[in-house]
Amino acid sequence: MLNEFSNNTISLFLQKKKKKGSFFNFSLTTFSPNGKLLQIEHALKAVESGATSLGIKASNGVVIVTEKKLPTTLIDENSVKKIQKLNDGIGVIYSGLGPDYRVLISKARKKSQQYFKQYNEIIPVNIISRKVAGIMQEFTQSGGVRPFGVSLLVAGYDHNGPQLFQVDPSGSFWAWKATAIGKNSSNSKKFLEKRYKPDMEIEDAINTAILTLKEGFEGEMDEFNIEVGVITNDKKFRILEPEEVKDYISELNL
Amino acid sequence: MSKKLNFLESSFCKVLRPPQLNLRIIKPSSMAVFAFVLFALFIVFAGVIYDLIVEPPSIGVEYVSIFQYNGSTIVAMAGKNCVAIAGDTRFGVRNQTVALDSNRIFKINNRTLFGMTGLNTDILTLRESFKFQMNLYNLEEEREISPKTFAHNVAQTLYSKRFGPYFITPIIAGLEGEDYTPFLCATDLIGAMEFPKSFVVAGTGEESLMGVCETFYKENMEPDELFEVISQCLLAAVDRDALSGWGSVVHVLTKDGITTKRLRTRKD
Repeated sequence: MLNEFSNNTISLFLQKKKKKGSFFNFSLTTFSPNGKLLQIEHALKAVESGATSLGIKASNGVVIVTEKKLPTTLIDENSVKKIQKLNDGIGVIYSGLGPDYRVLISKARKKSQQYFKQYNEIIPVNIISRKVAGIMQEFTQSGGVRPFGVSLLVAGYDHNGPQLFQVDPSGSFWAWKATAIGKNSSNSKKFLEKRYKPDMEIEDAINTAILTLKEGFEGEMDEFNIEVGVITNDKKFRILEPEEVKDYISELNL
Repeated sequence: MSKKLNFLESSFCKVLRPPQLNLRIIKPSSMAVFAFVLFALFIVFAGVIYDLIVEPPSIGVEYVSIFQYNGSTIVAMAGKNCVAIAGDTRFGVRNQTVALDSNRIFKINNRTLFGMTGLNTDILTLRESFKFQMNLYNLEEEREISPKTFAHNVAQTLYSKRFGPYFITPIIAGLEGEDYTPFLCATDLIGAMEFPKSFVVAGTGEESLMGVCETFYKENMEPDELFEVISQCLLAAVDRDALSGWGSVVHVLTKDGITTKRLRTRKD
């Protein structure tokens, strides 16, 4: 495989017509003999070693939380915003490579604005999830690019009620009732399986989410090293202020 | 005789005297006269040619704008939890009528009706284009489009051809939301939207339609009364418009469905 690669590169080098930089017309994500796409598997590994994020869909809203572990106290935590809005009614969180996440958010925001321009309506959650998944799939089947190293949790409230979608580096997406991604995701998911009830209210869900995050948290959890985003039936996604997060944490006596 | 003249002389001619004009007698050279005549001729002929170019003489005008090439008329009205949209069914090429059954009002879904006036080829093309878009929308979104969203979609599609537009005037009529509020929207050929509450008119017969609708329109009409009013308005207006008529169709949309009726108009 290495020989093929170098042969291809050399032959491309010899073709003088090619512009500089466009040497890779072949995809770097190719099938292995046992039918897997190893690049995507590696990307999923990158996601698994990222910071924990989880989301819970309640009967009247969705909550997403993430741990905001900064390597040193010198970093200004106000400048780091992990939970982002795609538009007024949809919020996103990730696990994995931050820069890849930033690029995806800006592409997704553009798509949701294009939809709004066309139809004067906020894009439904399943549609934007499908479009973002489409973007991620493109990068597994194009020349010279690598897959994105992030999994996204997309939370929104539209005409189908509250919804929570996960989008993977492979480009697959599906809806969850409650899930966790990143480090400790399997333990968190077990915890959620026990605690999740379909008729949960949003307040309950926020408490459960913070509790679940605490389970795998290394060190002391306070209002500055987690982020919480909530959307209820007013269809406006809100990132909670540190004071509100502090109230929830102290309520749970953590 | 000389006595009378003396009388005239004594009365008028004493008072009225010819003015003392100290005229110089000009004796121009022949070249000067020739030049003057030539110049005057030039001015006259140039003026005539200018008039002929700017306003060429013709016996009646074929059409002033491209919207009069085919000619059509549509009106839409809102009632109490119902809307009605009516239009003529003439398909003509200039002043010749070619077909009597061309449909200009299309059903988008159970809540939305969409009518267009203007150039017939653009009406047919846009019909297909919107059917394509709506089929994809239904498959992807797994729901029916609401009239307001469809209206915005129409406006966007028309604006995308801002510098080579479709020559149509669309009207969207529908029932919006859970409580079936009537929704009317009309746009111009490049998608400037207007959301009237009562009625909207479009086409070559729009001027006569506007007057009749203003007179007969009432708020909160029930479907039967709405049907009567819109039919009478359309019939009155197409009688006055040479390029519309030859049959008409009226659709009334309520929460129970769409009722369609065809009316006989004057066949001329």
